Amino acid sequence: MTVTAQPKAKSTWVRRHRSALLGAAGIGVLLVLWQLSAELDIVDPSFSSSPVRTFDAGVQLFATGEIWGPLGATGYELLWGLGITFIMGIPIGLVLGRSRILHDMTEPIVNILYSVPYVMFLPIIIFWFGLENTSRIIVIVWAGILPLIINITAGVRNLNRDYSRVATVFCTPKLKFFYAIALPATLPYILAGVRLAVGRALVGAIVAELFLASEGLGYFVQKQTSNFNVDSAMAGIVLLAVLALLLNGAVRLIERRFVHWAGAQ
Amino acid sequence: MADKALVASGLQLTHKTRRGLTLAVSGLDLHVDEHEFVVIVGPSGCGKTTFLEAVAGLVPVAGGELTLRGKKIAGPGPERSLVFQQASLYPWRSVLSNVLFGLEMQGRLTGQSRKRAHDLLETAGLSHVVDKYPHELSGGMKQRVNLARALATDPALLLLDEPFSALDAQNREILQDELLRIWQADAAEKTALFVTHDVNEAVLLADRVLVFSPSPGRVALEITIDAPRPRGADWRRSAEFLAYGDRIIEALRHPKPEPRSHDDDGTAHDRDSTTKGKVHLGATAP
Repeated sequence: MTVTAQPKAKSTWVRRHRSALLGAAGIGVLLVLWQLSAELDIVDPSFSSSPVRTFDAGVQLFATGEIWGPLGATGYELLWGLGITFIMGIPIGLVLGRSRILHDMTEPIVNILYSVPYVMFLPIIIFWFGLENTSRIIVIVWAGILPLIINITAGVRNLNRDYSRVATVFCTPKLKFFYAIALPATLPYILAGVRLAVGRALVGAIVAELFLASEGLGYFVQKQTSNFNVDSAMAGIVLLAVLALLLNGAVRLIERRFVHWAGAQ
Repeated sequence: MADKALVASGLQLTHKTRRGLTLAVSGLDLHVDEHEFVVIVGPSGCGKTTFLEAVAGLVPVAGGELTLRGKKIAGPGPERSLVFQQASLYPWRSVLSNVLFGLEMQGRLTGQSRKRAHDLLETAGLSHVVDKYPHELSGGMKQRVNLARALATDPALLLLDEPFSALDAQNREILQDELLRIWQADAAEKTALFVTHDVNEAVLLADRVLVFSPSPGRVALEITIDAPRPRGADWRRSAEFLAYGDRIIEALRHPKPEPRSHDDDGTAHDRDSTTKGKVHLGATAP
């Protein structure tokens, strides 16, 4: 019984994680090609590094502790930036979704702020707030908050009419309606907005660090590249990718826990 | 005669369309007695659903009077419950939590009301899915939850808006039988107002059938269904059952609104000759 069951179980495990496995295989193939290109002198490793050299540089960065400063600085900015984004963005989105007047009044402004590349305002932001953390956090909030607001507003405005009808028939008080129906019904939109905001905030953080060159992972990578230390620069980029994947994974986990019902609708 | 629970007199209801307000119901007079099961049958768009929504408190009264136990209906109330045409369950709530929704919103969650909800789930054959979510249920199961949710608040008047119209024929029959069973099992045999376009459904369920004329709706025919309860498969296949159905279908095809005191426009008659009522024959038609 167990003899026949074992290979069957294994094959279902493979089938279930098929896309993840294929994704990992894709990355593997890319790394092998990169390594081969460097080994066979198709590209110059001193300009383009190689997986092995990047890995070594990464280990070195942690061993000397050199990376902790930039990593901490970026983490600190992101924590504040995303914190402010969520605390301000979620209520603003909910209110704009409920109030027609406020929505119509702010819609053009929100759209302009969302469509104009915020990078253009960086010099002005530096004028106003200097080169320190404040400016970087403002850039992160600017990058992240608009997709969050737009998503939540759309979610509240698209609230299923049946939800309100059922609530009315069963005599739901206003406040209860808000947290028992409007909030859970909008949660998928809120979390989708959070996911977008996290991605854009990360870009905002790095852009800010490149412009306001003083600390952080973005600045670190730029500095290493200017010093022709491509291995360390690549290690920094890999670290950034890992950070992005972790943040994304965290939001996905929250989505799976709280809005498991939304996908099957 | 029993006490009157619901009374409409000279009732006028409107609904919004792109061109403005249209009359859905005009000069409607009807009543529902306590513990009576009344079914309204009518063609699509005759205003029967608007009337039901007015009783539920979802649609404001535009003219005339609509009272429940002597009190004017102005908005929804905990003594009324509506079983929706679409199950309209909250997808983030489990089956149990959906059934408890009304009690929770009305601040009436007690040990006793919880027990009532659990008993209802049991009666409706839902005890094995209490922890499941709506997206895991079939259409028939969802409608059972919809029904249990409406009964959980122990309403004096149960309103049902074509609750089985979206189901396949087989499921519809099963649910109709279950509704009868649940209605009879529920302690006080509640007063029920049921709206449908299915003639067989009306004859099966009703103590009294009201046939609505095309828009603006009014009562074109009133038939008391004189058959003992509990009703089951025998009743569905009896000759009387078919005879009642024929009379209703005849009234739907040639609506002759009785002249009434509130008759203040002649448009209804003009429409009668041009609009043919859409008659739906259920699966049990021979």
